Amino acid sequence: MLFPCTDIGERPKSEFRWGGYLDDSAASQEDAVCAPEWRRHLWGGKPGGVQGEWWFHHPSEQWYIGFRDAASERFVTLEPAQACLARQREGGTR
Amino acid sequence: MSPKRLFRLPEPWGSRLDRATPVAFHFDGRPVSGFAGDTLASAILADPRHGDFLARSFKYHRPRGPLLANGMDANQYVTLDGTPNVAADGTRARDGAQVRSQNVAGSLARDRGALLGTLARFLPAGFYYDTFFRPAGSWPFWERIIRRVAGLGRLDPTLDAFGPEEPEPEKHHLFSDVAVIGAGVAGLSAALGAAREGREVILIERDEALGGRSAFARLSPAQRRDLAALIAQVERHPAITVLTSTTCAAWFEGNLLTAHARERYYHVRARHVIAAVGSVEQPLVLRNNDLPGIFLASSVNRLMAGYALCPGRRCVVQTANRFGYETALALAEAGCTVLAVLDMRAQPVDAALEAQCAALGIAVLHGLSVVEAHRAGQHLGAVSARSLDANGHPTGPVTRWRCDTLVCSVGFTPLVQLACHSGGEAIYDTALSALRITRSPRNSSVCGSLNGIYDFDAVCQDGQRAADVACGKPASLRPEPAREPVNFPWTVFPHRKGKEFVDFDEDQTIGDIETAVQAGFGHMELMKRFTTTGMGPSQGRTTALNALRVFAGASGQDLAHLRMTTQRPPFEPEPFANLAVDTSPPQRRGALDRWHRENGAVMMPAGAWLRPAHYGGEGDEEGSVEREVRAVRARAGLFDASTHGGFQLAGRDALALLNAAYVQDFSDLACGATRAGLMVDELGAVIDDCVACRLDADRLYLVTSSAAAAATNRTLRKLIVEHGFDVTVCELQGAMSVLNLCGPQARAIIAALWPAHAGELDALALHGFCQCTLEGIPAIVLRGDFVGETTFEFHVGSGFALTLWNRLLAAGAPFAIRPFGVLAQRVLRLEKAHFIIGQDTDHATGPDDIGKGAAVAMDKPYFLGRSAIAKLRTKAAPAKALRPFCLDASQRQAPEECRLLEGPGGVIGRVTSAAYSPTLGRVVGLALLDDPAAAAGTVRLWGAQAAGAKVRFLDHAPYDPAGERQA
Repeated sequence: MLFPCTDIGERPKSEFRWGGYLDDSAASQEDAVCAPEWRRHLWGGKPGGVQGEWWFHHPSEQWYIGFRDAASERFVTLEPAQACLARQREGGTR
Repeated sequence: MSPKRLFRLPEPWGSRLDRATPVAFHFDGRPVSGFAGDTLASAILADPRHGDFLARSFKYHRPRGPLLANGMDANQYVTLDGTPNVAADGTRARDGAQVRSQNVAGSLARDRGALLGTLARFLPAGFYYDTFFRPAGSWPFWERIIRRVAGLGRLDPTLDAFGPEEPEPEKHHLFSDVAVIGAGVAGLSAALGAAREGREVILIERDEALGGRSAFARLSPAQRRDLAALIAQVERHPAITVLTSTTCAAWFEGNLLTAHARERYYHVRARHVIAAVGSVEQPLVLRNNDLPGIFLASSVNRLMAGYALCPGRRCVVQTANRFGYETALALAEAGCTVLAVLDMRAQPVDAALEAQCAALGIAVLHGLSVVEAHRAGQHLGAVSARSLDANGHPTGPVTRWRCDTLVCSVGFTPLVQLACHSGGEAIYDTALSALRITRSPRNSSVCGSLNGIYDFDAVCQDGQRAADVACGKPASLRPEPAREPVNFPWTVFPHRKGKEFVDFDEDQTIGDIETAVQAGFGHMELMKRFTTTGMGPSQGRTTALNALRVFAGASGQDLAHLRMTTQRPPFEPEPFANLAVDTSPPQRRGALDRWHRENGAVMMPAGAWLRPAHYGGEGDEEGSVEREVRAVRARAGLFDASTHGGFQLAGRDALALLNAAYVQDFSDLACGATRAGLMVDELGAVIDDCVACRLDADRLYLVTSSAAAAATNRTLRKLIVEHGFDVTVCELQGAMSVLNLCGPQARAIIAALWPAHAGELDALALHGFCQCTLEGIPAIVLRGDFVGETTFEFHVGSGFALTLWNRLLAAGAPFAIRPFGVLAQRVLRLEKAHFIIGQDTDHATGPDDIGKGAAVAMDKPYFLGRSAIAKLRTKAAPAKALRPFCLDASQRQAPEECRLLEGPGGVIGRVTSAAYSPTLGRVVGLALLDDPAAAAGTVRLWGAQAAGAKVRFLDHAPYDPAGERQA
């Protein structure tokens, strides 16, 4: 599978490592330390469709944020995390 | 044995043969002579000393001649020099080879297994599912017998498939703008078209030469010239890489192709894939349709034109398209008697071809089909034909021809498998009576017979259209060539006595598919699994079309709504050896690697690194470790700790980053001071530790564990992005080398080596650091507690590592300094009860469990894992404890990791590390206790009988509890 990135072009999946869901702040994962909540975190509440994810790209040592359709396995966007979060913060203050 | 039918034709037949070079080998122990260029099969079949077939079928052990003759069907599998399931018709004959027939009980000509054929009535599809389970428990008995007769070939586990002189397979990664699969006329045209537009092209061809079916077909002189020119241009074009004898086995998402040749395994990544894979001819389904002597027209063309092998002398040709006529003409030209061309189509279609037949005296009859083949000995002896009505049903009287050869050309199935792997869809096109790709995968195109196009010139044009699409030009620039109906819709003629084979690999007949439908398997996928139709090595290539037709008839479903079963990689069987090619990541070696190996180090893998285990050479590991340990405790030792993770953090928020990443509070870390850090994950489990040195206001030097360096790099970088910290991270693992000088004489060595710096270094307190330049080598020097002796850690750029190492050894020589390896280091650190994260902790071990609870700065507003630790602390469950222990001095054998510990009330924990300490003369170790209170009672190693197995827990490090030696 090729990841289409706005910054570094198309790169094979093997260069990336998944780094969690975007909407899971570290805090919400930490809330999931008891077994039933952990189970829900792993298996529940993630229907198909577009979801935001962290991806670490080993060769460039950068984090990227991708919005990926879990049903079709296609990325809607994949861009450097810094730019993505900066835009989100801007959007949040408006 | 019946008389030999197949025979060799004179030149110019046999384009693949070099008749000047003979080849000799053995088949079933008897000699075979052929020519260079022969396949194993063509040489055996042409040799008058051998029969007309070289394999027996899988289930009924029926003799089977060549079907496709191109290495794609299971009925030509042989064992070659001990390697089973080699396609005899796809493998070149070579001198001295030992070839054996497979699936034969007795001899190939007289096979006891053929008796099974007479029992076929009692062995319907799925018979073993419901036969051998009664009485209960009887299956193991039957299983032994069935296993013996089932399966293809016999694997010799002692055999080195690649032989001592042949190289092991390698994996190659190839990249191109366009990958073309198949080098027939369509693929050649497509490759050339794309290359002319400036694209890099990889052309993958299964066969050993280019040209596909056209290389053996009856072409006009102009077409023959065109083909030769096309091949020459493709071979010469600098932008086209041609891979012959290479099978594309799978087409994955993102246009990743895997392909295998004998010694290569390819990963091909292409921006655009053009599938020009062609099609395979389909057999007629009628009684005894598998007799040797019944051929497909394309195989006959291939055998005659390529290998000068004539199928027989008295031939009947059954056709429903022009290929049958063309083959009949070729047979007549080769001197065979063509008794008749039977055309299933009611009306003449190609007057020119019929006129050519008439000129050679070949009778052409329309609206007629062979409906049964008759046996003479083990061969075809005659065929019976009847007229077909408008729905393809046989009617009217039977006409019988005595013949030794029946050639069939009644339809083709495009090789849709690869396109289906990657999301394409194959449907049954009722207008063409054929399978066709309707939806090709993204960034790909199909051409040639995959589009239902067979005419030479039209195929050229279609290949160029595919190249246009690949190069981003609109496909409409060239007209879409017309599809050629080459398939006859009715090719299935049931017989009351059965033996009408649908699947030649698995010996499945019309009756077997009907049995499956009657048993309730009313879906193609279920029928396939119940009968195994299409599950043999040819994976439905010669089966799918007829199986669909039989299944539609038996289940009353409309063909137009039926789908082919799901196609999965690989396209054809792949050698395991190819899949097992070494793909492990490269091993990392430090800057001192060469010195270690030249000085007796035994290297051991440690994560991605190779590190010295000890320096005693092979043989005496225990003695070497003991000598190294004693040297460190008594005098001095030098240790290569270069695999430590190193980071430089620079920026205003460097301390804030540490505060977010580690549980400790770093806010008041002064310039020139160090502090230890502990990292936990989102669930509060300890994952890494570090020592942070504050170099100046905005710069930190961070030393982390070897194994977690990559993960820590990711974590630090993620925190920076999440929190918007102003700090940059530079990962230094491997770029920096770390040399640890330790032992009671360490200070004396430094004083001798660098008198100018001796004062500064001597003044360093435990855990202090300084930056200095030691005789031209810039270094960060840390006073660590590493092994419990005075220790100086020198962190230097890796380019300086060897120089510094040699200087330290030279200066230490008067003190009998010794380099020591990872094993001695483990013993030394265990003597001091130092734990290793990941070895002595697991994914459920938090800071509180290893006695580091006090270090957790819960008053920080945030750090990674803070809320998990807070939550865990509210739970009633008591913390675990990581405790040093020692065994009785009589016990020299260290318990293995994970050995359970047994307290008065049962298991109380487990050993996480243990080693024999030469210093203390007893086994020391660490144990993780679920129930720390139980350590007060009598604790023993689980299952140990000896009195010495009693475990004594300590409140302090086993060696130098007060830390006096580090002053």
